[in-house]
Amino acid sequence: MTHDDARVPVSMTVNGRVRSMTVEPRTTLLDALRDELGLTGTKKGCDRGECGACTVHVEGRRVLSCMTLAAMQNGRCITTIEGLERDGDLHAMQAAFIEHDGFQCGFCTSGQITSAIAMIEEAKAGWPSAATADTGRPFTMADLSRAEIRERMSGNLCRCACYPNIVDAVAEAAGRS
Amino acid sequence: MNAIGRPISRFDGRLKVTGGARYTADIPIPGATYAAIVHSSIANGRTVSIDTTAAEKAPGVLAVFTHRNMPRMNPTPKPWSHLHPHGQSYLPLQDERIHYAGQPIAFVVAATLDQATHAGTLIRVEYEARQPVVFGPQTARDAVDPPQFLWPVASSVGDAEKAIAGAAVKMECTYSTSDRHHNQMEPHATTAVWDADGALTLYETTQHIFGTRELVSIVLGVPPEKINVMSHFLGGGFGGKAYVWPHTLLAALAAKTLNRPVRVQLTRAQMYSMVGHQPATVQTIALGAGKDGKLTGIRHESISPTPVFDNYIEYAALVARSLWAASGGISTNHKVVHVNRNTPTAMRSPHEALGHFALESAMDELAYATGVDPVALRLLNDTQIDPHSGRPFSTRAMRTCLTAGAARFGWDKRTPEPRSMRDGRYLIGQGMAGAIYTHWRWPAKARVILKRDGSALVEAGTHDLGTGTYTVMRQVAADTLGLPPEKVSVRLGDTRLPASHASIGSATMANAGASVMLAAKAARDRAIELALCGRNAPFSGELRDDVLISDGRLVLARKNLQITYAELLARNGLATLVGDGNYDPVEEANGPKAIFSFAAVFAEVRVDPDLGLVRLNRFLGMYDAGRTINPKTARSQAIGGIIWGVGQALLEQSETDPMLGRFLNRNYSGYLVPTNADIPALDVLFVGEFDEEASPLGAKGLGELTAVSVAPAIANAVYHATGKRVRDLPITVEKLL
Repeated sequence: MTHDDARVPVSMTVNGRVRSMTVEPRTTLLDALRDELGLTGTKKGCDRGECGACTVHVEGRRVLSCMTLAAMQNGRCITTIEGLERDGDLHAMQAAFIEHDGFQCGFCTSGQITSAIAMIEEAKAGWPSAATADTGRPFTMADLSRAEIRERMSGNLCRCACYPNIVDAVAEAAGRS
Repeated sequence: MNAIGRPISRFDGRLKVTGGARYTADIPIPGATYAAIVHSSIANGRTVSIDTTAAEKAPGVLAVFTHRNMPRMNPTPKPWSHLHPHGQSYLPLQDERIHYAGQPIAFVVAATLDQATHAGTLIRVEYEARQPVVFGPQTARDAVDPPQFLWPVASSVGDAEKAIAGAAVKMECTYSTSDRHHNQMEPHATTAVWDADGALTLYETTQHIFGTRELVSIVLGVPPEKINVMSHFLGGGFGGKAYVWPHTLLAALAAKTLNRPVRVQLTRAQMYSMVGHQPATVQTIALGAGKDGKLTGIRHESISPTPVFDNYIEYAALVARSLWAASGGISTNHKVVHVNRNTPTAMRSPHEALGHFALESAMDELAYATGVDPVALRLLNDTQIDPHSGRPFSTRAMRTCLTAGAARFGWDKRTPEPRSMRDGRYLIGQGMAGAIYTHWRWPAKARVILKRDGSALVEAGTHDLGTGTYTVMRQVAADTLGLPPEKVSVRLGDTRLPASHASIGSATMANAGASVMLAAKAARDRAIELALCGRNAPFSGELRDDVLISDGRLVLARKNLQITYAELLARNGLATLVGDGNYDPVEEANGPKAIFSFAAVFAEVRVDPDLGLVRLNRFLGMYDAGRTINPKTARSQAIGGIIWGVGQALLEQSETDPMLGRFLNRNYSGYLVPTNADIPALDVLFVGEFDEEASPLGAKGLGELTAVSVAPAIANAVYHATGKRVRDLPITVEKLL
């Protein structure tokens, strides 16, 4: 572990804006988003990649921001929960979470929503999951059953346990996307 | 159209889905410093030396506190009370003794969190260690009678022993439950800020802002009026954030000493020793019954661990006092074992969820012993008189829950013999249980402010733990004021607002909600008063009872007259019209009726006969929680409670090292909680009716009720599937092989 606090410069595009800063080499992307950029919508639940509350998009893919260092993100495009609205309109996933009451305390919600949006892209790209019955043929959106959604969303814990409502919300948003 | 009873989406929904809701550790504080906590690696003994030299020299470090230099605290008040609720009486960094593993021994404050955390690793500690006392079958024999805590420790109605001894059918079994941790998604956090006048602001993850203020006032010796506690959004509480834990006191004193704001947020691992947990229980149930299954006697005893310095009682046997009738008598008792651990605390659903596992498992065993159907057995022993107090229940829809629940579940298609139902190679099992949950009546205050623009503001010092308080309080105020809910806004979670009680025990709707209703009524009555006899009064000379309220207007239908709130305020030159609500009920125990919520729950499991793996196929809960204010948020609380119970039944256990006396699995990969893939569709129904004894709103407690009896329903289903009676939670694979 380093004994000096030399900071390194890093520049990334966050929610469409180029953000340049200096960070300690040991600072996680999660802490940089929250403490350097004030983007506190991304939450620290466990800080060790087990709960999913810190999920953000890096180049469109879902990533646990507590498990990657800020200094490694130079030049990357990052989207957080704060970057999903378009001209004041909620993303379909955000609206579906409200409609289906896909949260109670809301602490895991940023991670659930960012995870769900990227998960649908994974399904569209034909990625199978552990719940996929037949991996011998390409996965299609028609295969995205409730069991598939449950499996693919299980990296995001919800202790209020809104799981059935989350599945309803994700299924509706997936149908509209 | 009434707002109450409608499935309205959460008004704070947009904030929560956009990342805009600010939780305690999200609130930006200029000049904030960050703290890291260093813990004892032993569970019993004392520190001989703590070398902080290297830590103090580390970059960014502002101070390293140990018991040598942390300012002294005043002792916590005795006896324990919800009014000034300490999580534990043993205070941090006050002496060199070590009573439990993970006890804080140093508090490092630095400019950044990484600096504080790193400096903490540089501290060198020498201990004098002694063998810790750990809870287990051996130490459980040393159980002692504790002093009274929330309820009387023991109870006896009739002569249970005699009734059981003389019964045609008698049985006695021991059941046990595991240590569990709340594991809220949001780790506990505090930011302490002192101003130049010696006033303290605490941004706190708490379900009890006023209790926090009182306790911190006592321990720190600061007048309560100089302390403000805020908790606007809470990332889950479940009882674990209801009381004041050591990190809050450390942050406040460190901030005062350094004259800088100090923020501390527990790590996931620290949530196992810095705050409370649900203690394990060992429970013995003896039942006596006739051959027809009618109960003649119940004895229910529970033993649970508590630290050497506190007497926390997990009142598991409370359940047996009021759930079923027993003609000859009911006796209950609780004992504790003093061990080296931190103080347990309330965890959804404290007392009841543990006791129900034992009692409702025993009832299932009785059903098989007598050959009476489990639903029929409970109908047979149902009662409209509380066996414990002799008072009639205010409302008790247990019979409806049992019969309607069984019909909807398709209970009549169940074949009772164990291992008689299959789905391919899987064993199918169906089980059920009844449930009862305590109703709390507590004082609460609120204020409702009608504004000149025709909108209204609710101010109440209560909390939204995710339970929907921001939404349901709007519904209550809107209906009382005759406004659409969109015209009402709500402020909560700030001790500058009217004082309310802790948001625990499923008490917020019935009590804080009642105070909001009374405040809205007071504001409405003042408006009517102005319409009748204010300046240029539109209804001058008319009768108060003829005035109706609708859609933001006062209406005198008989004369076809009306005036809006906005116009009324303008006419009287008023910016606002304020109504105060002061709900001050008699305690439940002193009232004429016994008040409880009730449920019947039904589970179907699928068991892999080769692996012993249990999967939940479906679950139905039928609830009597009085009047439902918002069916959408109520249903969410119910599915959350069911899943909380699934964790208790199948997954959750905090394991203790028997030699080292420390919790071992201090993370989400070792401590398993249910995930999305574990949960099938859940069927939730509410059959409760308006209960005027419970609350002027007619509501009884719901959130905790729904986590009760999930475990015995699943355990009973597992017995039905496999023929194996598991009396020890959680039901993990090795217990079925």
